[in-house]
Amino acid sequence: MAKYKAKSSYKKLDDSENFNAFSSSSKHRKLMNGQSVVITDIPEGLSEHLTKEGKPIKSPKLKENK
Amino acid sequence: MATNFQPKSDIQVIVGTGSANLGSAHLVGDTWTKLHVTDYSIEHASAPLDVAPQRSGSYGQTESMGHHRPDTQSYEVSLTMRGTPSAVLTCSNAMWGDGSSTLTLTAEDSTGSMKDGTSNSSAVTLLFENTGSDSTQIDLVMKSCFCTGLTLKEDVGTNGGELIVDATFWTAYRPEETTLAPTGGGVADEDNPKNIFNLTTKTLGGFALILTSWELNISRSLERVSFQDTTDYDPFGYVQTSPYEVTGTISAKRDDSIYDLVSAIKGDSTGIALSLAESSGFTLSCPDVMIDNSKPEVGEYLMQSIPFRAFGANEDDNIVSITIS
Repeated sequence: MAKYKAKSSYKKLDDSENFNAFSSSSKHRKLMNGQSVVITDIPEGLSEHLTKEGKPIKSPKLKENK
Repeated sequence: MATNFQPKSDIQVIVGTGSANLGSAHLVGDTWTKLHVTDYSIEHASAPLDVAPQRSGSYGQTESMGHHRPDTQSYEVSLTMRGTPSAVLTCSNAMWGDGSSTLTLTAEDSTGSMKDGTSNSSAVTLLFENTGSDSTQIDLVMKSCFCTGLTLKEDVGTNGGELIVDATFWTAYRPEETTLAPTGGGVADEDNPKNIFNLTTKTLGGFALILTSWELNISRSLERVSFQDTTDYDPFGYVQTSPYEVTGTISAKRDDSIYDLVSAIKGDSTGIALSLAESSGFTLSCPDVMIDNSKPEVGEYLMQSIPFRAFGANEDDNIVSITIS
């Protein structure tokens, strides 16, 4: 898992090309607001309009059971 | 004498998704998916009845006192589905506007503007094929439906441990009996459901639990905005009238891990992390849950029921996140 932000080119995409077209209006609104979103697999055609942010999110370490 | 009837075995539930204007059903060429719906309820265009007060000294109710109120009507159906990725993604999109994994629900999420005539990509159209009461208008169509309740649950003793998705869909537009045939008949959901027996991570507060069942409930309420005319009584739109509330229950073997959770169970007003995950393809994470009145359960061996409520640490932090593929 990694976090992504929108490049300026994302903000020019039509609704048929942005995250609205991939059933995620919520992710779209956050990207348009300059926020980052967690994406597992970037939908086809969107990778060039997104930029990866920071380090990947690690799963929390588990404590051993007694 | 009418001779038609609707056998339950002939009924298919197909879900239309993608952008559509609120108040309009999805078009036959839009995306229609046959999710693994195993049980459902249906609705019929109807109206509640108000009764005016009675004249003093009168001992009967007269016709003029009856008033139908389609302007206040809304419709709600429930779908029970096998827990495939498509089922979860479809419902999460209709619930909080995120249908693309990783699904994250924060205090900033919503299904956006829900205004009549305005495009919205979270509303779904529910098509109940072969459900119409009319002999020619054989389908029932419910348009502009959003989720108001979503439950994900797994239990070792139910459906072979498969993930079950229970979703409540709500609309303020009248259900319509019509004929609607999606192009190609709709796409069958071929995904496999997730399963409790595939969970490799089951931790609460960092302690590994032996689970026999878990469930996560997400709910919100919607209300219709008035009515546009007295022909169809379509609303001007919807408003969300409550925050998303995320609660759930874990049933775990009563052992050392339960003892280790003592401060969280006794109550310290501090959130702890809940994590459920398969080795790949499914992770459910609530980073900040508080246990709500946990009790032991007495059976052949003792279990602990752990009800919880999930919070976001801050407005933009996840209340729940689900990775599913």
